[in-house]
Amino acid sequence: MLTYVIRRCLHLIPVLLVVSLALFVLLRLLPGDPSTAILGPEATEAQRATLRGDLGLDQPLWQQYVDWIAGLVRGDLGQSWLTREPVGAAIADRLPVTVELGVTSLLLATVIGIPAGILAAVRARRRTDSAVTGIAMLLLSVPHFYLATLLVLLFAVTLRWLPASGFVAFTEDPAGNLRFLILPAVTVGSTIVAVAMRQTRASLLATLGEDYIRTAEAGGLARRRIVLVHAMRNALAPVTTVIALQVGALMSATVITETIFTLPGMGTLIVNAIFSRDMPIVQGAVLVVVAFVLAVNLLTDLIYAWLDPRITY
Amino acid sequence: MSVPPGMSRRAILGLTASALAATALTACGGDSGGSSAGSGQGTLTIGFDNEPVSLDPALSSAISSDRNLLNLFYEGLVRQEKDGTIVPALAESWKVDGSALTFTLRTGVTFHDGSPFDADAAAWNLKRVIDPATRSTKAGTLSTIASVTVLDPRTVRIQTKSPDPLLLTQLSYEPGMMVSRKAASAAGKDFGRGPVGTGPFVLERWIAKSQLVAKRNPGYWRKDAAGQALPRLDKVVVRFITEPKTLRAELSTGGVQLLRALPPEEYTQLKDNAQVRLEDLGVRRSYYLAVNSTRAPFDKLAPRRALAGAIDRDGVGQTAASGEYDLTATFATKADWFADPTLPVPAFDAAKAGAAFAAAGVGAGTPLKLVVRNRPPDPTIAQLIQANLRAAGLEVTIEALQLESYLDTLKKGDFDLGLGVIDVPRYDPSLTFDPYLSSTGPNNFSKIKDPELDKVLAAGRAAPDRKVRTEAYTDVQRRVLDQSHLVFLHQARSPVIHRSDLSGLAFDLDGQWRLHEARLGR
Repeated sequence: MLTYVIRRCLHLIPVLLVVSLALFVLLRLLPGDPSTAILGPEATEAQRATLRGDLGLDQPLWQQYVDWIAGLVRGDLGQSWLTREPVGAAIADRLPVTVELGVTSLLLATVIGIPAGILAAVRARRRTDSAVTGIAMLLLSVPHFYLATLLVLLFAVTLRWLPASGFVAFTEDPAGNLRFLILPAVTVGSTIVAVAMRQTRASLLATLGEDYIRTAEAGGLARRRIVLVHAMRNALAPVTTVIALQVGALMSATVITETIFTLPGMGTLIVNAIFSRDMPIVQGAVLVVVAFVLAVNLLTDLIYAWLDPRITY
Repeated sequence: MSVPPGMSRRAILGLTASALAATALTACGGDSGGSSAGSGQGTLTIGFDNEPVSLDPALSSAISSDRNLLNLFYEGLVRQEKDGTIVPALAESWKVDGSALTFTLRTGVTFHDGSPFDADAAAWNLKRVIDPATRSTKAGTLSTIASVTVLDPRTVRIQTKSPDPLLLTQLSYEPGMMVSRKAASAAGKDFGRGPVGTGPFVLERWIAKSQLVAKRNPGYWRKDAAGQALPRLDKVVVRFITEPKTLRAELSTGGVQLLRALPPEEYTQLKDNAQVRLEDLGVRRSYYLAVNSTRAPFDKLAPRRALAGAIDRDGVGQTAASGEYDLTATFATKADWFADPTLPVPAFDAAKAGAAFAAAGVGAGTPLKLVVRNRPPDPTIAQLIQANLRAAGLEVTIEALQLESYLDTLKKGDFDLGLGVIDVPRYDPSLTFDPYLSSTGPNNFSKIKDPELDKVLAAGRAAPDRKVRTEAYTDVQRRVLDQSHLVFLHQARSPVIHRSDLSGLAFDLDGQWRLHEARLGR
């Protein structure tokens, strides 16, 4: 097991190197440079040229890449071109917000999606099933930006139960923190609820058709025990995979959601940095996100082994 | 497979219900509609869509919007009132003597870090802006200064190379804002993230792309008319929100009490809200078409003139500005002192424009490239212009680009028409016209090389007398219209929007706010 984990971790290095190169090249293909954001639209060409020199943009591309990678090896992600804030510090400020949003959404999705999936499975092909499946389809189809706007309109503007946007750290005000997170978490979680529900339903239905379930039923075990203990344990493995796969999608969902609700997370950090061509921030932040998603994938593989003793590494 | 209903269903429903209940409970906890930093009696929360890159006034990059925040922390030697008059600020008085400008400074003023404001500090600040090592974006505005001399701790003299009638105006804004030498020297290049001036508020913290918190400066020198200490607010929280819909929702719920700007389609929905005030200070977003004069067909005068009559400005304003617009002949707003109401807005006549294009040798189906920024409502305006020009027989292709590519394309001249917008008024007409019309202007996208125009622009800049300047700028506008160097479209109204319980706002000439007398509550 341990050697497996170490081997997987070592595999991460070439993957991250390839990602870093692709990222660097793609970002350099973007037209424009940060001189507009830093000097304004009415700066002269001479002022822009001086700034490019200051930022090292007059160096050859390979040199810029090597400098960046050399910094990474030393644990230095570089410095924002705009704010001069160290990239590492900027990410350290933002990552907890996005992780909190992601975890809350996943929690919400699991707590609602899995029971709803069980309900749909045990009431398969009846009205309850149709209702739950229908709602899931609707949640899958509604774009996040639209759902977010509707939620703000209902809960912030009309009912005034929740704030329309903003954020306060959990350490500063735990109750306030949750109030700010509910609408974004519901928005991001909406898709995952649907995915979790559909997968649970399908997986549980398949398991309930297995021979050992019939044996358990014949043995007179309580229905509740059969479904929740014997069937669910086996039905959960594919559900875990699907939810884990959502983590990647979740990262892209947080980009839009954080922008609408102005959460100071990785999504807003990356979007704003792209718009102002603050490449060190984009490079650093995207690389961290990629590493994070890879780590979650590794963790998922390990959870399999725990859920299904037949799997060994 | 048959599943008996009952227990399993109840269990599942119970689980789901408890999860929902937990969510609802959290939702109802705490007060509703609060903002992240809390909206206490003396805390003003602002929704701001354009976060500054730097709060070092010498490095400010925005044309004017940064000043809404710079005014919290800094002041200049003088200040320009909304009507254009120059009044004392950190200088109590001044004397103009040819090319010499001598300031007598206020005593007892200190920077937020406790260091004293005196003639040494003032001279150091002015030299700092001019020094090429500072790389100040404002250096050009003070380029006429030859020397700055400290005569005594209260007196500083600026000697210009020749009389500069604009110098006092420039010193009222970013170029003249006084920063603490001690703090600037200690922070070096990071000073822009930690502003230290003499202004009414002191920076508490600034989290990029999230929010900035400033607290009251207890040592602020200025008093109100009744002799009460200023500022009145305990705290100012600036939340950086870029989504117009989020800004509107926050203002409606009281999450923020003041907004920098909203597009017309958003603010018109607030007009019936009794708790919100829309205050029209005359700020306009003035749309225009840059006309590339270096390539056919617009390298000739006749097609440019035909173009000016081919566009339905009212139609564009109705659609793209929800009817909230003025039609003016040029960038001058109706309230500007250099506005000339007799200058005509070119009349729209599609048939006549079509005939004029044909007469000028621009045949039906001539392809044109219209470059536009890819943000609302610009692409909509571009489509309306495309339809107008199609009616006149021209075939327009629209290219919607991100800001950087858009500016690059305009500067390289790879276009026929470029849709642009500037916020007007600026604090001096030279700032409005020169960058776009002067042959050396950084934003002369039309590539105008018109010695006649350069001459009248220079006359407008150099004249000390407002009457002479008015005549010069009327000549400028007349010349631009006559030559159709630019096609001026509608001017969308951009009111300041705030909760009705916020009062005491003061404004710069170009509509940027000053909050030293602002208060909340009736």
